[in-house]
Amino acid sequence: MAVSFALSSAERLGWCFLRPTTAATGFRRAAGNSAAASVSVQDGHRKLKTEADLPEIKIFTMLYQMLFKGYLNSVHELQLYQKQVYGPLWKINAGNLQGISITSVELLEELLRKDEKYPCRGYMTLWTEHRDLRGISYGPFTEEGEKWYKLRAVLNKRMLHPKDSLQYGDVVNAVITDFIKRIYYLREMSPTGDLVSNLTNELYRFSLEGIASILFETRIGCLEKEIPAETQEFINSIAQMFTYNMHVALLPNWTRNYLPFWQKYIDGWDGIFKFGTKMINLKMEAIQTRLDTNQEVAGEYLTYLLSSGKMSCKDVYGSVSEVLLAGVDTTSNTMLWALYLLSKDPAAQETLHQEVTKVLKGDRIPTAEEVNSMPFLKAVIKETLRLYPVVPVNSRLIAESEVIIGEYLFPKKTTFNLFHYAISHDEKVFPEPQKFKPERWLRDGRTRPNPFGSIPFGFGVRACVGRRIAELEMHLALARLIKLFEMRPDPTVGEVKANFRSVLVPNKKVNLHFVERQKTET
Amino acid sequence: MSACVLRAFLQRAAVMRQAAQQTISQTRAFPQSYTHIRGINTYANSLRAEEKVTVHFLNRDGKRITVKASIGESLLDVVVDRDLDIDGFGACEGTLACSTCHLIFEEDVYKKLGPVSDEEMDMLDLAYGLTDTSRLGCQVCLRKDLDGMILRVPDVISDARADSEKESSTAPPKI
Repeated sequence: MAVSFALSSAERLGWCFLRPTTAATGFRRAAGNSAAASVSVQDGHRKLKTEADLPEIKIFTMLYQMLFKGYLNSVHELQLYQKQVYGPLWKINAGNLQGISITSVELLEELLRKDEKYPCRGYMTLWTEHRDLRGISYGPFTEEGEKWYKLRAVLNKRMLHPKDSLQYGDVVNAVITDFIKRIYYLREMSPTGDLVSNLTNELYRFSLEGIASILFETRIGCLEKEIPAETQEFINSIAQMFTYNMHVALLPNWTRNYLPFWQKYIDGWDGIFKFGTKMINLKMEAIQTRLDTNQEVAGEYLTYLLSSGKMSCKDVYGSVSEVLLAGVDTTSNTMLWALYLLSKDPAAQETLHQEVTKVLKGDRIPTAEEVNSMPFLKAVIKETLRLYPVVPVNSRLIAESEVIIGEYLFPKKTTFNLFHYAISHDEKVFPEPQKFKPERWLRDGRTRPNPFGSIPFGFGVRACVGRRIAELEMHLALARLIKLFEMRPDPTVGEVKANFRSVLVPNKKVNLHFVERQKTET
Repeated sequence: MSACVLRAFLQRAAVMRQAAQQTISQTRAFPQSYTHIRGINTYANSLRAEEKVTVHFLNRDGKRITVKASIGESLLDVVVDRDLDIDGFGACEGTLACSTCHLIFEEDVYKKLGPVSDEEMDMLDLAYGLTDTSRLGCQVCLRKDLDGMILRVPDVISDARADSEKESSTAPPKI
C-alpha cells in the first residue's frame, strides 16, 4: 500500500559555509564594460559603498554573543539582536561562517530578484563533505549549476504542481487515519484520558510515515504501537545530525580530531543514508520481481524516479534521502507549533473549527480539494510558518557577477546570509510580530503583508520541491484533528520557546489535551 | 546485495522504462490528445485541437512577436515550444513554483480568463512588476475567444538598471 507526504527544502541550511577568501579591496571599472558604465551613469551623484564599509562581526564577537549572551541554542534570536546592533546589513567573518547578512525585507527582495539562472545557495561544505567521504551523490540541496537544474526538473515532476500533489490526497489521508487512531490510543493511556505527551515525538512519527509513503511507496510502521527499531534509529540519526551541525560549523577543522562533535555529526548522516538506501533497494527488488514475472510495474513517486531513465541509481539514493530528510523535521515541527498556537488561542481555534465543520458535515473525511477551499486553515499554517520559519536562515551565493544591494556593490562570489527569522519578526512588515494572527493572510480585501516577509519554502526555482506535499499533509491533518478534538494546553508545561537545531524545535516536551468534541456540534 | 540488485536493475532498465512509460501514461490525470513536453495541460478538446488562435506578445524591447497556437495550449508552452526570445521565461517548467512566466493582459481579456487559484496567487505575489491584470502564463490555456489577444511581457530587474537611490520595488500583493 502506497502512502503519502514528502517535503524537501532545497534551501535548508543553518549557515552558509564558505572557505575564507580575501575580500576584494577595491573595484576597477573597465571603460568597455557596459554594465559598469551603466552603473556609473546612474550613480553619478552617489558613490557606491563596498563591504569594507559594513560593520563586521568576527569570531570572538560571535562566540561571545553565543556563549555569554546566551544565544547558542537560539541562533535565530541572535538575528534580532544583531539586527538591532548592526543594522539591516552587516558582514560576518567568523571561522566557517562567512558572508553578508541581510535582515530587511526590502534588501531581501532586491537580492532574490537578481537570482541567477541557476540560483546557488553557496558551498555547503558541511553537507557535501559527508557525501564526498562516503561516495554518495549530491541531491537537490547540495548540487549546483546546470546539473542541479536538470536534477530538479526530474524531481519536480509529479511533486510540485498543485494538480500533481492533490493526487496524493488519499494516501495522505490513510496515514492521518492511522495517526488519529494513535492519538485515541495515547489519550486512553493517559492519566486524564485526553492527554497526549511528548507531541514532538508523535508528530515525527506521523511525518516520517507520511513522507516514506510517498518516497518509498510503503508503510514503515511509525504509527504502530511498537515502532520498528530501524525506523527509530533513523529518527535518532536525523536529530543527531541537526544537533551537531552548529557545533561543527563554528569550530575550526583542527578540533575534529580532539572533540566528539564531528564524528557524531558524520554518524548522524550515516544513519540517514543507511535507512534511505535500504528502502530504495527494497523498492528496486520489488520492481525487479514484477519485471521478472512479466507483471505491470505500477507505482508513484519512487517508481517514477527509478523508471524515468533520467537519474542514475546512485543519484536516486542521494536525492531521495535528501528529500526525505527535509520532510520529516520541517512538517512535524510546523504541525507542532500550529497545534500549540491554537491551543493557546481558543478564538482562532473556534474560527478554524467553524470553517472545517461548515465544509465537512457528519463524519466525512476531507479531500485534498476540500481543504484547498478553507482559507482560514491555510492562514493558520502560513502564520505558524511566519512565527516559526521552517528555515530561519538561508543563503545565496551570487557566483557569476557583481551585485548591487542597497547602496553597496559586492563582487562576484559573494555569499549572502538571508535572516528570514529577523524579517518575519519585523514589526514594520508584520505589526505585532510576536502575536499569532492568522487573519493577516486572508485574501478578503485587506492589505496583506509584503510577500517577501515570509517565504518559508523559498523563492523561485530554488524553492522547496516538496512544498505542495507538505502543505497538503498539514492542511488535511489539521482539519481532521480540529474537527475531532479541541486542543488545550497542559498547564504543567508552561510557555514553550524555540531552540535552533537548523530548524526551530520546542525547548521542552510539549503535551496537549485532545478534548473530544461533542458529536452534536457537527 | 546492493551491487547485485544494481546489476540486475541495469539489465532490466530498458524493459522497465518501456513498461513504466506505459504505466505512467495510463495514470495521467488528464488525457492529452497531443504531446506536450512541459506544463500541465488542463484543457484538451480533441474536436477543436486543430483550431489555431493568434497571440501577440509585446516583448521587453518593445518588439511584437506574433504566433499561431493551438486551442488548449498553455501560454508557457506557446513560448517554450517555439523558443520565443523571452529571457528567463518558464524557469520551473510549469510546476507553479516560480513567477517567471508572469504576463500582463489587457483588461477585457483578463476578465475572460478563469479563476486564479491560491497557489497561483501566492506565486503572483512574488512576481516583479505585478499589475491588476497579471497572470502566470502556465495557468492560462488558449481558447477560441482569446484569438488576437495582446500580452505584455513585464520587465525584469537587473544590475545594469539598478538605481541605488531608488527604493526596491514592492508590488502590492494582488488580492
